[in-house]
Amino acid sequence: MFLFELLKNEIKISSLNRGDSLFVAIFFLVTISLFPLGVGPDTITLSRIAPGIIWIMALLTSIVSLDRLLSDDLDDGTTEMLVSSNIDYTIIALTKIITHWLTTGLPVILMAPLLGLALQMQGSSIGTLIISLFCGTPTLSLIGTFGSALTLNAKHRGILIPLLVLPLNIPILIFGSSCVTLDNINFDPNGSFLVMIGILLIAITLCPLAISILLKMSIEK
Amino acid sequence: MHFMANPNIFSKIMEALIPWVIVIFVFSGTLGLIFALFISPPDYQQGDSVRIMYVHVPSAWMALFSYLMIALGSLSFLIWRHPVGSLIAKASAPVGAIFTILCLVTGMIWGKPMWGTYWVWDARLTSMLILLFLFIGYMLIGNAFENQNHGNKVASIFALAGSINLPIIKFSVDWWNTLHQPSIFSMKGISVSNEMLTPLFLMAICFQSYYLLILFMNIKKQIAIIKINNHIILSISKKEK
Amino acid sequence: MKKKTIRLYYFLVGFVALVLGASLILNAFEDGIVFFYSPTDLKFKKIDSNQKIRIGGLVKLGTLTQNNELFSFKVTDNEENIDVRFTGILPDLFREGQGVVAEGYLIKPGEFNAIEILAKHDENYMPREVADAIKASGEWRGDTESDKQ
Repeated sequence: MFLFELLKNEIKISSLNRGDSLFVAIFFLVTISLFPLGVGPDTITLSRIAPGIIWIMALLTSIVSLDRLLSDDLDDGTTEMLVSSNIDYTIIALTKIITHWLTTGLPVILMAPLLGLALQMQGSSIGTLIISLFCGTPTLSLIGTFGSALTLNAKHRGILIPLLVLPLNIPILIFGSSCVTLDNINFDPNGSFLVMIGILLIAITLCPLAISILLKMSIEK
Repeated sequence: MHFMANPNIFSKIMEALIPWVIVIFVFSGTLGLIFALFISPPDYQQGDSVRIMYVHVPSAWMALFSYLMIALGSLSFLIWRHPVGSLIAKASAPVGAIFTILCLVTGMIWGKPMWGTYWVWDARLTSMLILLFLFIGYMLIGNAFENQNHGNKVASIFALAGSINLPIIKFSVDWWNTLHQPSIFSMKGISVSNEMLTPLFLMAICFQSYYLLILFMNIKKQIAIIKINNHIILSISKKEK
Repeated sequence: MKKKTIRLYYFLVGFVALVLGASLILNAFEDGIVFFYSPTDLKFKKIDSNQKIRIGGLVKLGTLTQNNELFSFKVTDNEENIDVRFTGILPDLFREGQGVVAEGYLIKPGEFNAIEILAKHDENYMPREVADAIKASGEWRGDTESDKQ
């Protein structure tokens, strides 16, 4: 399948040239370590707001690399070349979404246990947090790539992307952090998990389609 | 409805409607305010604060209606390439944003004495705030491109993605435990007494005609801009010949 | 595979995913995120006494007592009750028999220390005479359950 070929290539590029993944991981690490310094070292306060902090930072981390995600390939003609060699727009969109998740979502999930401990979270809530991140970050990548596709060739992309993507991502933030909060007060968080999986299913159907339409529009303009 | 998609026919209909819309706006507004402020009785629980509802509820309706118009206009523009769909969608955004702000502000003024707080992050208030962000995002992205037609298409796709928020706003009070009260229209009937429904509906008509008035003026402005641009392009190309 | 078959599969899988996603969300809404918990929700839960939560329900009729600025009353959902204590100023709409949301700490099962009280309004709007008339005729629907107690 083209998808895997493209994906392999894409990952090779991102690991060789840009170090996106490393950059994202460092951004996540540094910003989260600001919170104990800003909020103060009170362990009870910290452990209570920790899931919210990690979720907000996961959301922001998913946005920082969006402005170059699609436009790099569009500007240097890669996308056009792929299209002319008969590869479907949807496949290109899927490749980009998966690459975005591998370079932002996955590092965030891998680092969450460490940061959870640093923010005084309990072991069991860290487990819930990891599962909630697994259900939620793919949606962040889907909606983020959609936002990136919306703003192709637009002016002021750096400000536009967060303005468009953040409101659409608010439900994921709410349900993601509520999983952990519910678990903390011994409530069943399954409802929130199911909602996030439901949102993921809907986003996975609609986003690649919308992104492929937008890519097509930007190339055929 | 497809005959409306021709901008010239739409313009004519619009011009014929404008005087009537102004009459309805002034009439329902004056009558509505008299009813809302003087004739209608105070509520058995809220006292005179209930009068805020006569602005709050119609502006909430109109905020949702404006976004619905953006979504429908965008849909007709994307599927059938109706230029009027795009015109309606673009013209509905600023007025919709104003209605949303009015709804949020009046809600806060009512909330402080009644609930005991200006703002809570319950599902209804949060989804309404997201609606405001969607209006702002829609307006910004439509104007962010050199190629206006491309901008219209992109904005339409964003508007459709955001329309998922409309059912969330509408049903938030039924799906979740919110601090916000449920809708006054339900399966059980209307939960507002008749004396209070009169000013509510008068104000709703007033707001609806205000929306139409702004919509028409905005569309006229957009058509005028398109005409001027075409004229400039035409005169330049004539000179070059 | 031909492009057309790919597209067909895409739409079929997409449709199934959409329906599945929507039904998951609608099913989960019931016990998903809430602004407050009812006394029944909290009956069998052990909640840390330093965990701030919100509870909501009706103020049980005849349970409101005041001692200087200290108010105490029962919040009920007509099955379970929680004793609430609160120091401060109550909002205008706070009444016995009306909805209330209290934010604070559950110090032990059935005992709640509120730091903030919000009055929850219902969707009924009517003038006083109408409310009295309906109450007199015995067809009051607004807060029926609490009236029965």
